[in-house]
Amino acid sequence: MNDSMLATLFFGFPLPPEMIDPRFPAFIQRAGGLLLTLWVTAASLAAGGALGALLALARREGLPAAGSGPVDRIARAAIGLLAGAIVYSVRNLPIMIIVLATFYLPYSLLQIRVPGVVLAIAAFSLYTAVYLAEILRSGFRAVGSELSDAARVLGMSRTQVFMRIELPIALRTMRPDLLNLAITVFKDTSTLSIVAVAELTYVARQMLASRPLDYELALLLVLVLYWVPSTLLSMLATRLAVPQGRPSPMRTSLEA
Amino acid sequence: MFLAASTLLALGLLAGAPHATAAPEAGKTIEKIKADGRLIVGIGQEAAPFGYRENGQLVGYDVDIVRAVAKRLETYIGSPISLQFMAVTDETRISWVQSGQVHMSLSHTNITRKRLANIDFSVPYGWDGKSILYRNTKPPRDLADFAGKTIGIKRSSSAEGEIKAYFESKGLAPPVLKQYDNHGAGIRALLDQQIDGFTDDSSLIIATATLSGSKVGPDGPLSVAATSYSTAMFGIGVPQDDSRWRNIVNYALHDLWLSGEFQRIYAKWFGPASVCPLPLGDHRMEPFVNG
Amino acid sequence: MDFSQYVFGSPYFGWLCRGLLMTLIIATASALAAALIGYWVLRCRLSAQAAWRHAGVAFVAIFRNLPLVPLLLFLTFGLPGLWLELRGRPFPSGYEFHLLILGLALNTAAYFAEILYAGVMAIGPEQIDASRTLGLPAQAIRRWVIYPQAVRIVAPALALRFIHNAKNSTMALVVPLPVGLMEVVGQAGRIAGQTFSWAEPLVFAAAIHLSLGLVLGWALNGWASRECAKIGSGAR
Repeated sequence: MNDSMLATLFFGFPLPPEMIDPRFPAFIQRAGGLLLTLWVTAASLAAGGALGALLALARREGLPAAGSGPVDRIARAAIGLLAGAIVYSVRNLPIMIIVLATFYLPYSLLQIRVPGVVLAIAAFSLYTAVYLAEILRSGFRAVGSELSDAARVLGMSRTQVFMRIELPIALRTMRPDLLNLAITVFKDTSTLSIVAVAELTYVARQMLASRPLDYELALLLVLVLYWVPSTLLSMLATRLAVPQGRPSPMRTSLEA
Repeated sequence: MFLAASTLLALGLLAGAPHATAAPEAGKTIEKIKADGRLIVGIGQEAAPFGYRENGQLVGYDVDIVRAVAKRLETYIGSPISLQFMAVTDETRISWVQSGQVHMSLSHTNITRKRLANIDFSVPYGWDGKSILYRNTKPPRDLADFAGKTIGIKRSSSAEGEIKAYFESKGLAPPVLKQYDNHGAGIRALLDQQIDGFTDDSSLIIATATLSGSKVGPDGPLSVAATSYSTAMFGIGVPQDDSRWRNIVNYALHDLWLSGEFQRIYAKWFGPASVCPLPLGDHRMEPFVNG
Repeated sequence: MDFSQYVFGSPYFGWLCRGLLMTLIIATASALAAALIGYWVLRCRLSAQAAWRHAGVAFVAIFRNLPLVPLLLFLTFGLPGLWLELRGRPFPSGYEFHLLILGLALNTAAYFAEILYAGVMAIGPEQIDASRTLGLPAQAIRRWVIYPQAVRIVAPALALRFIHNAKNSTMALVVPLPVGLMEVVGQAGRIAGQTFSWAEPLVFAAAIHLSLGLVLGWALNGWASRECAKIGSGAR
């Protein structure tokens, strides 16, 4: 019954209606298998992308000055410290701990129940945001101020300088790292199988319970289904790498 | 360095957060369900015939029972409720009831003294015994043949203590136990000859083996020891110290018995035509007397 | 949170210490294995014969792009089944820990091999030419000229990978291990199974991993900077 195994790996197991939490979109809860893996990856990259861009902007421009009294300064310092602590933790903790914390702490501390898929997207959005902020920072730093200064001298406004000079150059430099981040998120969603999110790896594990005789085949298929997209994308990333005069700081920062 | 220090400080602050799972308000389950409008049930989905996937769909004895019980509960709670499932594992089926994350859980859970320290149970809604599944041999083996052998069990199964107690009471060396995540894994290991036997409630091991294609019986690859080493009663796990909630769960179960619906569901999963027949025999749904 | 059960000397404290010990053991063992495997893959990639070169490239391509969780699942669950089918004999049980180390090592080895290869490529060809002119045999060139310099050039990347490998030890959660061999997150799960709360054990596991990262980072980056300083100075 290999075809039904492939279908299950691609789309997951159908959910009984009672398992859909009506407070959250149904289509994302119904998805399973490779489809859910792709959904979580895409949603995390989108949400995390926005968040990470904001983070990078905040760090570059500084937080808006709501006031400069001592209380405001302390508050800003506290927020800065908290944000820094979160960023540091997410970058230096194993992804497994981040996933476990995201899944077990909300009910443990706040008594709120959230469907696993939503928590999964939250966890990986945070992950994406933090790494993206780092990539953006290095990417823009690599642009070099000579070009922007020259553009300003020629009379371009700050926005024009950003949109037409800095952004395109930075994007070209960051392309391989952005792709590598996407690949990493795609592969790391496999850790969600620990917390019973019905993505590709978990669906395969469930097959052990229902079809123990076909388990090796299921696992092999899972390996292939992860490997093919990762390899294709990473070949694309290598092809897009712009040769640089200076050693790339992004290699080291991304793998942290 | 600075960021590291601030992170450890943040962790310390987090540590000061209230320990929410220590003692959720006891006795308020009905109010919480009414306020939420949802009855949240933890349901196992990895163990035939109680909760498992057939052609991908979630089916099982627990699934049918809980759907029937939920319908009856509406009248006792007094307001419409929607039934919501959360998939539980063997660990979370107890811990989530205890913390209140689910209002009740059905996952072929045996009623044991150890578990009663943490949660309460409904009256039993199923009865079984534990035995050992093994690779078919002639002549067939019985429990004593497994002294000192390697036997697989499921993590957090009540079988661990019971099988040790049985062998020690017979003066035999207890088997060496190896833990597996679910019955499929254990049966796989048994077929791969990694272990000599696999043990759990007989309905669980027989149904899982049969439904996955390994026939259990004299003409199949697997067989079950004739003797059970302990009896088992399955109960619905409910939060500790909430008699009002536990009572209406019991009323709902009793209603199913009186109306005959329970017997129908039971016959579907454990009747003579099922993969793991368990005659009802003298078992009754308590309370016995109607009144 | 309630930390009263974790005081020095309590059983949970002991479990966490055990977990820390196992994390260190898993990290070191897999790193050593990865270094060995990575070295052989590097030799393959530098070989004169195309077949070995392709094998080396294939190894890196395969194990860089396989996520760890499915790989470990395959090694611990899929392999015994395949073994029985193909060889007719049951796969010996009790080796889950070794398979865990192997899985982690294969993954890290692919990265090590690639990093070192980049390092080798970064060595100026004049070094090789000069060594050949001096009459050094190939093995000596590799041992005294190529490898030390390659390692020095890529020392920071190697250090980073080592730390990442240590963090990967948490993937041991998917492998069924006896409780005495579980690393710190596995022990946290064990504690959570008893106290029914993941919050406290997770805080401890996180604190341990952050501290471990700090210590390793400080030590390894110190080593890497010292190595980098030796570049071009001719020191061996």
